[in-house]
Amino acid sequence: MTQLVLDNVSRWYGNVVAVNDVSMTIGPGVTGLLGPNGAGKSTLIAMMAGFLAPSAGEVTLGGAQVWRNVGAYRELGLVPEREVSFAYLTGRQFVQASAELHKLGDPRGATQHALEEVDLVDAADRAISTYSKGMRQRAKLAGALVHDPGVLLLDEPFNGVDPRQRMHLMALLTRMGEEGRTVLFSSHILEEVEQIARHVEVVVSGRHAASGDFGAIRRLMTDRPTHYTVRSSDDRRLAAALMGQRSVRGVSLQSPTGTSEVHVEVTDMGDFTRALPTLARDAGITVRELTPTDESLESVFTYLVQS
Amino acid sequence: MNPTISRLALRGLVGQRRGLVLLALPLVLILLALAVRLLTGEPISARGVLVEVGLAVVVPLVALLAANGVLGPEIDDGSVVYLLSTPVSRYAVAASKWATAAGVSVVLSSGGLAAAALVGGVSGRWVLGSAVAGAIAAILYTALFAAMSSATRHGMIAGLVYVLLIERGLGTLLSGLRYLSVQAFTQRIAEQVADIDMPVDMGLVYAVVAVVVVLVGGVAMAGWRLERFQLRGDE
Repeated sequence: MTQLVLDNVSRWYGNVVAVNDVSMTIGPGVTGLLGPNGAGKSTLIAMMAGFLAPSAGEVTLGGAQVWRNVGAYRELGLVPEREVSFAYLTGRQFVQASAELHKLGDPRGATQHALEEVDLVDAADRAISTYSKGMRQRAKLAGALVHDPGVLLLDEPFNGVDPRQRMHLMALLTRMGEEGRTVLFSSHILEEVEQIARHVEVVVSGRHAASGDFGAIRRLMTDRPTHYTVRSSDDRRLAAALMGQRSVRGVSLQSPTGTSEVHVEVTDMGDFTRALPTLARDAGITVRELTPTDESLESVFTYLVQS
Repeated sequence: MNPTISRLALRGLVGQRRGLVLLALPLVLILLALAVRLLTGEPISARGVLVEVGLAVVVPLVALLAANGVLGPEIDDGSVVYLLSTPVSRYAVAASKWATAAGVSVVLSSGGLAAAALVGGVSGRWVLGSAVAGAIAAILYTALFAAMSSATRHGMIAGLVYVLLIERGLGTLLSGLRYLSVQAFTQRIAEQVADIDMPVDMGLVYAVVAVVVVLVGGVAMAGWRLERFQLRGDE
């Protein structure tokens, strides 16, 4: 079994702490490394991949330190966010170079197999520079798994990939996880992680904020006081009706721009969003606008760090 | 050595615009020799054209472009991780990349100098001698510049500073700097090997030791740096 273990890992650059005392164990299956931009996800992945020395603590793969240990790459595949600068190579040449560097017995066969895995055979003999973003990601993935590693690390693999390709890539990662590989990918988008990751590690401002299966994380994120702004045909009556809801903690009537609106503080987002339409219909009120005022991922993360 | 790394490096060098610039430098030297010969109607001055322009300017520039080309851009944009996330020893990566840069430089430098000597109408001994000197210098300069390109993002500038400031500029004022000059080592050894007249006041033993130090030290330094290559996140 291939386990990637981070043991009290920190990384700082001068006075700036990028990763602060993170411990986690990544095992088989798909793990999502979730966090807002600048949280230290790339720094963590760089340390997991042996491309950054931890300032303190250590990163081990199957018990062996990763930093300055090229032997670790027999078991590790990395899909960096960085684009391939060898874009003049064809996809096949790129993957085959990787196969040769891994000193595989049958580089051609392994290349063909990896290209089939990522469904890139048709385009394999075109230069990478002609590829779409999603195809480039798949070419990089093929290069990373050509030696059949137990651990795959992917840094923001879905960034800039169009939706159809994204689905494709997600299906691929899911399959890799089901095959028993340890797959870890980073993302700053909750929905991406939700779709494929069984296990989630959340990092915020370099700190390990939460860890667990997706349901637990999702509840942590949604079972928190949330604020909404509602505009309707009769704000005062709506406010009164809303106060009767168990999920509502506070209501206030305001008119910041001349038009009135209702500010609602909600304890359970799910309950509230299900109850509001029924409630408004029963009262004969037309809801014109419903805006979450602190639904940004940053505020979700901030909440997680505080709790 | 790793043939895959060397092959990729070669493609990166000759397939790109850098390849044309690399080719242009020795061509300029050959054209210069030809022009001097045609305009004066006499054989060129071997010292003036082959040593002062060829060995002193064209050869180091070719080596700098080649050595920096195989390492600098990839380290700079981080794409070298595609080569480094493999079980290949980082010293082997450095040596293979250097071998490509050195090979390309030897062909262009040696060939360029010998061709310039030929069209310049100098003696056969000079044709051979300048080819030998070009080869030695190309091998040494690429090792030195490979180390510089792996050590700093400004490997190109560091190389230029070395050639223009230390070897040329200060070297003419402070003759002691010849003990740090790849060109001086090269001349001392080439003089011995090819029996031509390009004197440098330096012990042969020192020159030989310096050559070994630059060669082994340069490539080892590049490997050492690659072994500690750190990928900088975008964040």
